Amino acid sequence: MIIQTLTYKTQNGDGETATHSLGGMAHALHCADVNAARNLSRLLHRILAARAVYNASPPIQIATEMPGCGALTATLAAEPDDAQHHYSLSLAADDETPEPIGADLLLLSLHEMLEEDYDYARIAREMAAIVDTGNSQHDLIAALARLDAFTARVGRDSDGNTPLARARVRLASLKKEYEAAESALRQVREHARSLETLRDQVDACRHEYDQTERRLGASVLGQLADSLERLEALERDIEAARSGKCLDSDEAAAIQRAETQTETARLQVERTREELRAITEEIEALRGVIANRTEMSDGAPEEMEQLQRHIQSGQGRITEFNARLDEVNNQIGTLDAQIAEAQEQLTALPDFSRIAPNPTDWLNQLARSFKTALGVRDAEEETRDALREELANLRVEIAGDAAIFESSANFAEELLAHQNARQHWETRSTQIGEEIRQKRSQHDEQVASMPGLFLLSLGCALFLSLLLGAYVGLQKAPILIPAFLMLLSILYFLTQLLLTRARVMRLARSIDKCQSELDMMGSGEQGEVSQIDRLMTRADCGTARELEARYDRYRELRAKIEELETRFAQQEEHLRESEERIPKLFERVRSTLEQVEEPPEDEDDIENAVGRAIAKYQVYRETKRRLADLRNQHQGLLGRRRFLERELATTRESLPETEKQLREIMRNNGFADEGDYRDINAALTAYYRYLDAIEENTGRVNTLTRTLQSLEARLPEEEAALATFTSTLEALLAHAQFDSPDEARAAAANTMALRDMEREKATIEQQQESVLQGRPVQVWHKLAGDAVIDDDDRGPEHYARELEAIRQQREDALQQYRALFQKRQQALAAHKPLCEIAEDMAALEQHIATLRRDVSAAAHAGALTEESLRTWRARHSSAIAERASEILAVLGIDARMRLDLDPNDAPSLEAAVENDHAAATPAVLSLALRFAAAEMLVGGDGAPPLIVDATLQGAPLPAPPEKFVAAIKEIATSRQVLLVFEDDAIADAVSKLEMQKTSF
Amino acid sequence: MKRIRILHTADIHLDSSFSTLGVNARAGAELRAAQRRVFDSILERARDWPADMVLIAGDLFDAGEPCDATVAFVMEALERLAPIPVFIAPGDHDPYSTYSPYALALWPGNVTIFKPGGWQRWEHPVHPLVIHGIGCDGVNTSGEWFHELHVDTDDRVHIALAHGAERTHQPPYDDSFAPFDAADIAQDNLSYVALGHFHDPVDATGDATSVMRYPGTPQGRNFLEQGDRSFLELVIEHNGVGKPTVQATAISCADIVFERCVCRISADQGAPAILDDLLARMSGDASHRAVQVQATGTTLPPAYEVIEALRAEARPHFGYIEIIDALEPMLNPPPLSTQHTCLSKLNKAMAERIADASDKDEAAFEAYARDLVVKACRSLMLPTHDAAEPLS
Repeated sequence: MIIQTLTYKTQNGDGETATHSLGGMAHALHCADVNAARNLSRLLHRILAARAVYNASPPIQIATEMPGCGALTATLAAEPDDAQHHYSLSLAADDETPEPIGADLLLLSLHEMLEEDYDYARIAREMAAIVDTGNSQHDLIAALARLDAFTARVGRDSDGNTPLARARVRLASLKKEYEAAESALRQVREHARSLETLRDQVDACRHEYDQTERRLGASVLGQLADSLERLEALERDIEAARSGKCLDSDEAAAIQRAETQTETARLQVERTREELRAITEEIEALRGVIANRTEMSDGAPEEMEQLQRHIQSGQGRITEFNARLDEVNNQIGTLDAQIAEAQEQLTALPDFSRIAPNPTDWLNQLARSFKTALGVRDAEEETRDALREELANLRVEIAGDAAIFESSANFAEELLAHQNARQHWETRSTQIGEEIRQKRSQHDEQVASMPGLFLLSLGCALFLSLLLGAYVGLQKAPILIPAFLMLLSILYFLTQLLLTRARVMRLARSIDKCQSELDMMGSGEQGEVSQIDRLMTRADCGTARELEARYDRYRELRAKIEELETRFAQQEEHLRESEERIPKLFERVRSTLEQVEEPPEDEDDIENAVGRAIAKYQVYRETKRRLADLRNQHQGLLGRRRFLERELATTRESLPETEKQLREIMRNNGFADEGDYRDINAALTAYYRYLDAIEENTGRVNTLTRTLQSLEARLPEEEAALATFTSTLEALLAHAQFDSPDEARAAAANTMALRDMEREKATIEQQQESVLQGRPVQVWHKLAGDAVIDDDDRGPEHYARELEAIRQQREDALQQYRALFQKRQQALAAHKPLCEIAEDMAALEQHIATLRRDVSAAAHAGALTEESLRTWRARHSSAIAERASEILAVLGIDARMRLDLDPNDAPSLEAAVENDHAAATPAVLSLALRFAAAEMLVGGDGAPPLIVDATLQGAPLPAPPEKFVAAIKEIATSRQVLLVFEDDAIADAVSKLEMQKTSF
Repeated sequence: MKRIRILHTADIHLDSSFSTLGVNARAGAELRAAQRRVFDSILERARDWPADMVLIAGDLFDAGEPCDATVAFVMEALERLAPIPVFIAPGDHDPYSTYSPYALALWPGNVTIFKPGGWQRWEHPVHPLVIHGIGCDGVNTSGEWFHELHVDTDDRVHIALAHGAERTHQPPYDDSFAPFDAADIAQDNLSYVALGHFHDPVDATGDATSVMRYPGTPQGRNFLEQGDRSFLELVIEHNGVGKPTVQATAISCADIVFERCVCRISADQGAPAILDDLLARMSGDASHRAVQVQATGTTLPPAYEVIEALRAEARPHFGYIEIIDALEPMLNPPPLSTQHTCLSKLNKAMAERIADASDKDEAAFEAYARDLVVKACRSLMLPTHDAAEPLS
């Protein structure tokens, strides 16, 4: 792709536009000043990098505003001679930001390379970024870091406070919340049955209420119909009553009262007359009865009483004797039964008389004997166990010492020998030590005297030498005398020295000998005492005396063990004998107890069996004793019965005579019915009753007589009152125009009936109101609906009560239902609805999926980016460096460059310059590299033009202008290059190298 | 001439979860509130008309154990409707089970709930009308009960109420619950069969002697249930002789209408312009529209940003909006196509991966990864979804 033409308004003010064709691949745009050049280059770059341009296919015509210059239109074409049908596009001055990717492959600004801190490292960094993205500010290493930061920001697995982690935590929380809500729902299900039951109850009540309400309506309507019917009948009756004769109630009451008084007075007179007649008749009758009684003799009562007492006494004794006889007979019968029972009981028990005269003592003795045998055996066993335990303890106690001393055949002798040897060794070693000390002292003295003798010898020798020298010098013979004396002295001192040395050597040998002897004693002592010492070590004793005391104790224990072993064997024998005795004794006891049917099961059961046998014997003995007692009592009772029978017969014989006398007296006293009573007592009772009746009739006659007199006095008064009341009644009837009281009563009854009917009518009307309960009839018709009154209709009150009961029942069920439902609601209230939680979970899961996609996509993008970096940086860096070296040659510099863009290391640039070192500045190296990158990283069909911004602002061009322009022309062989500049030197070079140029 | 007015609705699915739409509980609550408003409006219409009765042919609730608040709402609404009788035949979503509100709740006196296990009948105290109904138990899905209805031969109007799928009119996207043929239930003396289960309105009468209608769901719940929804108003005229005439009229009632549309995302058109275009395309109040927008175009970097901006800006205007990223990945976007930089080579490699992707998701993932690289290279802010807190 190339920029085919540029059109802009001219600056001359006439508004004309100038169009420049930029057909060549290398074109120079010479601007008037730096700003114009820079604006133009930036504007061209913005056009080329606009997204709108990217999205459109050339040919395309883009119009935009150039600051300070007006409108600028660029025509982009795929080929230099492309068709003229352009797609027009307007690019606003401030609404399109150039695409950053590839920016430095579209626009190359020289002034950036002329900065002071432009060094190899910076060039390498910028080249790395250009190789990565075509933009020196955006490398892929930084992009990787951003992706990583993005991943970290979204959230990795290990990160705690990231959106992803928070979302996961929240999702887990929601899941728990969902489970809890589900669980709560499951829990409230247990109320379902009860709720349904209560609900059904409420429904049933409601249904029943409706039914009852209909029945109530029907009942009310039924009652209403009845009362209406009754009302009609009543009204008819009232009309009829009103047509008859009526009497005022007061008058009716007065007539009634007068009639009643008259009737009462009349009845009273009749009653009094009747009473008078009856009393008179009764008195007459009583007087007849009393007249029949004869007079009683004076002495008869006393005699009768005496006779009566005699009879009563006799009868009492007979009764008493009979009672006693019955009692005795009963006692005899009881005793017979008891005797039979005791005999039967005795038969069931064993015959203890065969065992021993005193079975209890015998059985106890047997049990004690057996118990004693057991006790002896247990004691023997206990003793044996104690001995065994004591033996075991002693053996344990002695075990340590036995291990020490058993190895010694005769410890006492060994110890004595050890002590003697020890004493001898100590004495001898003391002697040798003393000898060594003395000899060592002598040796030291002799050794100390040897230097003095040597010095004396030496001094004498020196003095002899002086004397001999003096003699030789002076040749005086006297000098030889002291010389000779000196010689003798020398000989003496030398002899002494030699002797002393010989003594020292002898003493040393002697000391060595003694020392060796002492050492030998030491080693010998070690061999001899080692057995005792070993024992002391094993026994942990510090001295032989301790060991000896230990041995003594060991010996004592040993003796004690032997004695205990002897006792233990004896005890075993005693125990065996005791154990043998027990079965025999057991057999004896068992055979004895078998006789009384209580055989023991085993040895332990002996005491129990004996106890049972003794208990049985006590029963046996008690039964026998009781049997004897019963027999004695039986004999006594038989004697008593015989006595009572005799007494009874005697008493019975004395009574008949007395009875005969009594009956005669009764007959004599007028009691003719005496013969009707066979029993004298009954006769006496009847006789006394006869006497009482006579007495009572007499009193009654007196009373009746007094009553008769009173009635006879009252009768005239009552007859007068009757006359008065009769006249009053007749006067009232006449006043009311009635002929008789009956006529007046009929009129009054008619009046009353009329009043009752009117009252009943009012009552029925009131009842109607009550039945309707204040509601219109239509309401009751509606309520009753199609319900018809039942044959067994129970009335509105009943149905109202039923309704109330149903309502109450319904209220109760409803209350229970609501309580249970409230419980259910409370259980669920703490939880959000499941659908809401599910929605939040779904939204959160979608969010998490999005975040995970972000993380995965970033990781995926990072991996691919790293791979691309490794592959393409290596390839591009060497190619670009090589091409840059060629461009450097065009720029007049012979240099080889090495560009290292390994993504794992910092980018580096090396340059080996062969010729003009001064000219090989970082700027020119960078220029060559940028040209190379622009040539190699952009290519293929549709490669956009390269804008070279050569605005220098007075700075020197990195390379000589001609060479610079030559390099541009070389680059332009692969893509269009537009050189934008303001510098005249470059303009000259452009002209010189015949590069197409347009001036702005 | 006796005229009976009946309101027939079904499949309201109160207390639905909208988790399949990817909405959070707050947005879900808005949609559930819309369902309640629709239910209220239906009952309001029943009062105003006034209807002689209301028939609900199943799936009044979306689940067998809806939350207590929803049940309380329904019961209060139905109680307000008294004395107009309401008949409910539980459906497959809200079967009459041990724990369902049908078994546990204390329904108002004007509500009759038909239980499973056999047809029940309700005779109108005034009109010569008999309602036959049966509920689902959640276990038996055979639909055999449609064979078992017996209607008396008399001069009364007989209506059946049930939940099931008439085979001939079974839509492909609805579950086939309790399948039956219209002939199974049609009878000479059965004037109308009020059905529920299909979420779109269906006249299942066909050749049958009885009129059979599905009113469809009165409020859509997802983008399969687009457009306005309705319930049915029935007028049955009967002169005591011959077959009664049934006239059914669908009444629009959806509170939020679900719609789908396609929107092209281009670099030269920002989110506000696209939003304006979307709002202009809405046939009614956008706040009562749930819209699923398919964003098409190419995955140029601005497209993502436009979509994100559109999501943020459109949300307050619509009852619910879902923008599906259906962008086609651009294999060689300029300027990467004309360069040989590492990034261009990387782009080429990733373009090959996009082209070789086994499915659209994989291609989208690769395109997204490439977009991340390009943004990272440009030092642009990489997309972060933390700001869009899903539960806020």
